[in-house]
Amino acid sequence: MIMKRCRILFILCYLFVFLSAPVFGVSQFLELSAGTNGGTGFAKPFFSLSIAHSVFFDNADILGGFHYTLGQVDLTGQIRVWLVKKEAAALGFGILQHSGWFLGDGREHDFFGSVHGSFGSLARFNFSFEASYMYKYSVIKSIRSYVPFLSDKGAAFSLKLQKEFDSRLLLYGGVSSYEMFRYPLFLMPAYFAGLLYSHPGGLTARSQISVRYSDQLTLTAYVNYISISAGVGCKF
Amino acid sequence: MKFNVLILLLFIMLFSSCKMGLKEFFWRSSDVSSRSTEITDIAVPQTILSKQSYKILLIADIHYSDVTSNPESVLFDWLDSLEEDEVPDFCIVLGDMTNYGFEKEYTMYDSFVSRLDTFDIPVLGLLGNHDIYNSGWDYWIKYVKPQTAYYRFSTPEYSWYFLDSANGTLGEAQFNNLIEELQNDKKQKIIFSHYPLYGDGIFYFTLLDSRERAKLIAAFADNDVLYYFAGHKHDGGIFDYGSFFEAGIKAFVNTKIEGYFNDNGYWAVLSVDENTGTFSCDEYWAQDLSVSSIF
Repeated sequence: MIMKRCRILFILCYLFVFLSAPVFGVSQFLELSAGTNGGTGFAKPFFSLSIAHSVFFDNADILGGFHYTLGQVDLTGQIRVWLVKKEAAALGFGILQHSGWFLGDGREHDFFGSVHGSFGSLARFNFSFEASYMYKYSVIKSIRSYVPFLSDKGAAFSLKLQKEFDSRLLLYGGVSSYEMFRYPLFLMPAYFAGLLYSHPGGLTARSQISVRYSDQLTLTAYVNYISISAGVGCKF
Repeated sequence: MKFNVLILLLFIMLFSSCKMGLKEFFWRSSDVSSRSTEITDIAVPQTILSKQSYKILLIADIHYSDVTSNPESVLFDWLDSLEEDEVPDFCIVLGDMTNYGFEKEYTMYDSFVSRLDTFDIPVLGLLGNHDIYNSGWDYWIKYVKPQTAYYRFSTPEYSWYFLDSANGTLGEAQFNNLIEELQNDKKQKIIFSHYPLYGDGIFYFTLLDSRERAKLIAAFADNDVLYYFAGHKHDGGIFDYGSFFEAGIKAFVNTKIEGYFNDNGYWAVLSVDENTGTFSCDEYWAQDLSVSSIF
């Protein structure tokens, strides 16, 4: 019940921010992307569609998104507060909630409490990180009458390097134990690299490749999935 | 510049010489999608062919190597002390027979199996993550019976499934084949795998893709699975899903880390009576041969 109320509160806050953002004149970014998950992980290769929306305040960012792939629908929301935000360095904390519905089998909900930082300017070289405490609870329909949910407590991290060229082209890459719509237990890292082109008019185009490993730290390296995605967006 | 080159060389040497096979950190030639795609039906162990009740010796995580030890001699002394009708009818090793996947370690395991054979205890093995370090799969299929990592046999009342989870996932082919086989198999099932499903909630030692885990638990609950046995997590762990029960078997390797595992290894005995449909499982601590019930 508490979780349900948290989710409703989160959605209401998000809607408030989304609707009131134009009033406060803050900048926003909306992106629609499509991709495909190939590989030999347990799930069949299939395309995916996602929409992500970000609102940027002076000292806070709000991000949200929806994702669909075969047999699964995901919703993610995140709030990041910047305690220090300068060109060369930024430091803050945040919360994140993800809900994923395994159509027919159950659902899972992830809650993150994070600290995040960013060092260096984009024009030269920027490094950012996010370190999180993760709580996951999974509801599995077939056992729900006996086991209402399974809970997992763990850690999550993300490291990212990026560099901007001519204020238009952003090259980025990194490694992360989670992605915006994918929250495995520690540690199935995804290595990612991407390119974001921003037109002065506000339109953007992005392409990204992610290589997702299974349980890499037990040293049985196994490429679970290779995900390729492309998206178009606009900054306004 | 020279210093940087030296650091780089040291780094490369570290990676290429590490016994864990760090040079294979990003890629290994054999993986579950090539090893295990369709289930192999094998013959029932000869020692239980005419029996309705029998005992199975369960051993997990032996980790044979030149840097580890295990209570092998205690186990054989214990087997020696048993009455004939108390001796287990066959043995299942739940993965990680070796520490680094080297052939020398597989030959140590082979000697262990030969010695169990003198008690008329045939051994079936499961593939663990340590067994595939340093391309150990090539040796696994040479030394470990039944020379396949994904297999099944059937007794009059039950089907016994052995999964390949050495990569921390079943992979698409094995996953889909398993679901299909579970659905088509009308017998009650007992499943063995190196990786726990959930254990008692230790996030690092279980199947890490929570979606895969959820779908497997749902499939087991919907298809008459009774028990799921696993190794990997050295201090065991149990979980009751209502319709089936997960039992993590504690490691056989002697782990001597003060304040954590400072004891000798364990083994377990699963007793099955197909007439009454009863199962019980006891674990034995090599330190003092004390017995405690898992279920």
